[in-house]
Amino acid sequence: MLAIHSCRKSFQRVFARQLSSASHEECDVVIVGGGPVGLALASALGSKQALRESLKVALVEAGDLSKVQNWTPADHTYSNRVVSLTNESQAFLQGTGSWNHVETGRTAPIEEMQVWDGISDARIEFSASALGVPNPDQGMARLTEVLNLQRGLLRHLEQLPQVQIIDKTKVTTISPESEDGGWPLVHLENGRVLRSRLLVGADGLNSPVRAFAKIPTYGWAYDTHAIVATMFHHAKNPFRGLNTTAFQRFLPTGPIAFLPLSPTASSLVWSTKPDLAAALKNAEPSVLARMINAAFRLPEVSIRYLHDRVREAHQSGIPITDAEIKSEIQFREQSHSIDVNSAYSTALFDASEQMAGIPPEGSELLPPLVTSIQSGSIASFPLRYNHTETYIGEGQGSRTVLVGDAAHTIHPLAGQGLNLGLGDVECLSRIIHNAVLRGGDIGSYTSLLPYSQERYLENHKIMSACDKLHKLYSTSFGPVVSLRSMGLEVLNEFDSIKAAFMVTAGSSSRVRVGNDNERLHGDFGTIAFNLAAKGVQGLTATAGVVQAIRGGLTGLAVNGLQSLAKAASSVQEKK
Amino acid sequence: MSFAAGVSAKIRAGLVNCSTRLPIQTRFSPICTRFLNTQPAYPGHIPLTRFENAFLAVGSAVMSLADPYRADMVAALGEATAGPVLPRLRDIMLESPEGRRILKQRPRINTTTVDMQALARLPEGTFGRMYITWLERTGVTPDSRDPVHYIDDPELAYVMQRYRECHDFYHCINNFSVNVESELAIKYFEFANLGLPLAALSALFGPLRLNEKKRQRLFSEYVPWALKCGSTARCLLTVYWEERWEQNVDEMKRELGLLDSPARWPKPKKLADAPEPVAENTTNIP
Repeated sequence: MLAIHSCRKSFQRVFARQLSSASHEECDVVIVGGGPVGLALASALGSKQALRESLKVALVEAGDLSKVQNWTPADHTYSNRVVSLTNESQAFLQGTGSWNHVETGRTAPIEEMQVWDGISDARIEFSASALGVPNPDQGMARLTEVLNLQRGLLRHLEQLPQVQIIDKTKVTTISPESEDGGWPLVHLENGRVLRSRLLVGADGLNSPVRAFAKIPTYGWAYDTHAIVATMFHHAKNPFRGLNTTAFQRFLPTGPIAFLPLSPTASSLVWSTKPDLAAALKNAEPSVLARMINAAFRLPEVSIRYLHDRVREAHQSGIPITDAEIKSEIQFREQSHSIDVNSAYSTALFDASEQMAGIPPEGSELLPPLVTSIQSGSIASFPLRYNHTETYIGEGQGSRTVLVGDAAHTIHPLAGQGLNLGLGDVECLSRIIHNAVLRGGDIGSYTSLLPYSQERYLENHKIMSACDKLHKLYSTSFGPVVSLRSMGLEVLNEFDSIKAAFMVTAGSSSRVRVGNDNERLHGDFGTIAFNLAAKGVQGLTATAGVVQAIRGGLTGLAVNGLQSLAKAASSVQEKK
Repeated sequence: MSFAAGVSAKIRAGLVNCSTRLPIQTRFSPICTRFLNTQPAYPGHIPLTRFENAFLAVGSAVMSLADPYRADMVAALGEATAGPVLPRLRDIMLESPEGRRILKQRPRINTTTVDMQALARLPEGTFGRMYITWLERTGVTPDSRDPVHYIDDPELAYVMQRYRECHDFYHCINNFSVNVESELAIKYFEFANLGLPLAALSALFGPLRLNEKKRQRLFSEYVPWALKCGSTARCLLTVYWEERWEQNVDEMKRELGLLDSPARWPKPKKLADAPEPVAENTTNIP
C-alpha cells in the first residue's frame, strides 16, 4: 500500500517536473561540500559505470580545490590534520579506485595500539597480529593526512569528467521548487541554479543542506578542545622496531593520542580543557613538546600540577617559558623519584643526541620522546557530539540526504569520525546504484530509506560508545577508577572480545564493494570461526586469571602469617 | 623496642636489595604500580601489603592506647591510618606557592639544619625567638622525630615527615605547652586544620586519660577554640616556617588567620603534666 502511495507521489513529482520552467540546470545528484566525504561520494558515484552513464553528478565547494589538488608538501613535513583510516574504509576506497591516487608513502600502518588509564595506569593493548587481522603488516588502520586523501580523491575525479566539480563557488540559498517540496533548487553565487533530483549534504557540522531540509539535530559541546600538531622525534632504535604503534592515554581532562606518520614524525591529537589548549597554543612550541612528553609519562597529580602552572602563567598575561616548564617538570620527576635513565624520564629532551644501546625497561609502553614540533602545525578546535534525528529530508526538504559530519559529529577519541562518513558514502553510493539498476527514482524517500536504516543505528552505536568512554574517563572518582581499570584489565586478557571490538571499529574489512553485493575482503564465516577459536583461548586465559587470583589470595595470607611470625620472633629475640 | 629492631633489620635488608637494582624502575613500571611493590621507594621505606598495613594499624593502636609514650607506635599508627588524607594535603601544598617551595626544597627541621644560636639572637617578638623560648620552656628538642617508614609514595612520605616536624610549631605559635590537655587541644586543632585521622583518634581517645576537671576545661575552652581556629586558619602545612624566623608573631598569626588561644601554662619549674591548682585565677572563660 505504502509502495503504491509513494509510487503515485513520485509519479506526481515527475509530472510536476515536466511542467516546471526549464531555466535551471538539471542535475541528478548535487553534492554540497568538497571535504573528504563529499569527494569520496563523488568519486564512488563516478567509479560505477551504470551511474556514470546515467546520472549527472555535480559537486559544489566554496573553497579552492585546486590548492588541495596541487598540494606539494615538503619532504618530512606533515599536515596536522590526520585520520586513521580503518581497513574497512581503505577497502572501500580501493574498491572505487581512489586509493591508487593516495600517496601511500606518506601514510603509516598502525600495527599496535597501547591505550591506558591516566590515573591507574591500567592498560589495554591491541596488536594486529594477535587479533587475526588478515594482513598484520598492513596494520589494523592506516594513518593518512586528510589532505593526502582529498588530493587522491581529486586526482581520481580528474579521470572521471562525467562528475562536474564546481569549486570557488558558494551556495547562496537552497529553496524548494514548490509548496510541497519538489526538487530542491541550489542557487550558486554566480547565478547558476542547480535543480537536483537528489541533494546530498556533505557540508559539515553547520550544514546549510540540513538547515534547508529542516532536519532537527541534537547534541552538545564537550567542554573540551583538541590540540593537533605534527611532532618530530628520533627514529626508534633497532631494539624497538618501527614507529607503527599508536599510543593513547586517558587523562581526566581528555585523552592524548600519539599517532605514527613516519619513522621520525607523528601526529598529536590532545583533547583537553579549552583554557589549557589556549595557554599551550600561546606558549613557545618547545613548551608544548615538553608538556606532551610529560603528559604520557608523569602520574596524574603532576600533570594536574603542570597544567595549573601553564594556566596560571597564561592568565597572568606572560606565557610560561621553556626554562620555567623545564624546572617544573624536573621538580615533579624528582618528587616521584623518577630516575633520569628510566623510560619515564624526559631528561633526554635536552640531550643533543639520541641515546644508543638497549632502551630502558618499559620504553615500549611509551611513545618516543618528542624533540620538536613542526613550525606552524599547532592548532586547536572545539569538540562536539551531534547526531541528526534522521538522514533523509521530508516534506519541503524532500530529496535531501545527509552524509558525514553534516549528519553526525563525534569525539575524536577513537578516530572514527571520517570512517563513519566513509561508511555513509559506501552505503549511499550502493543504494543509489541499486535504485538506478532497478529503475527507481534515486531522490525518492523509498529509495533512500535503506540508507537510513543501515547507517543510523550503526553510527549511533559507535558515537554513543565514544561519548560514554569520554564520560567514563573524565572522572577521577576513586571507585569508578578502580572499576574501569579492573574492567580494562580483564578485557585486555580476552583477545576474542578485543577482536570483536576491532571488527566494529572497522579494522577487519567486511565491505561490500563493486557492482553486485560481492564481498571483496573478509568473510563472515572465517571471522566467525576465528572468533570461536579465540573464544576458547579466552576461556583458557580466564582459567589462568582465576588461578592467579587464587594464588594472590594465598600469597596474601602467607605474607600475613610471615609478618606475624617475624614480629613474634623479634619479640622473642629481644626478651 | 623489639618491633623497631625487627623493622630496622628489614630496612637494612631492603637497602641491600635496593642498591643492586634501580628502585625507580620497579616503582614506575605501570604493571607494578597498582600491585605490590617489594622494593623501597626511598631510604627507610618499608613496603607493606594491605594486610600488613591493617595489622600494623591495629597493633600500633593497641600499643599506643596501652602506653601513649611509645612514640614509635604513635608514629606507626599515624602512617598506617593516613590513607587518602596525605594526597589531599599534598595537593593543597602544591596549590600554594609557599607550600610548593617546601615540596621543591624538602627542608628538614632539626638542630643540624636550623641554627639555634642564630634564632636565640633574634629580637623579642619574632617567631624564631619565640620558638627558642618555647623549646627552652618545654624542654623539647626538634631531633626527636621518627623518620617515616610505611608511606609508599616518596613525596607523600615527605609530607608526613613535614607534618611530624612542624607539629612543635603549632604548639609554639598557639602558645600551648606539652602537657596532656594542651597536646589534645593541638590534636583537635590539627584535625580541624589538616584532617589527619591520627589527630581524630587521639582527640577521641585521649580525653579518657584526663581527670574530670581537666576534661571539663578541655571541652569548654580548648576544643571550641581548636575547632574554630583550625577550620578557619590557612592549612598550616603550607607554611614555610623556616623562612619566617624573623617575622613578628602577631603579624604572622594575623596572616595565617590564627585566633588567640585560651592556652594556660603550668607554673614554671613544674613537670609538664603536673596539676595546676592556681590556674583558675587567670581564666577568661568566654
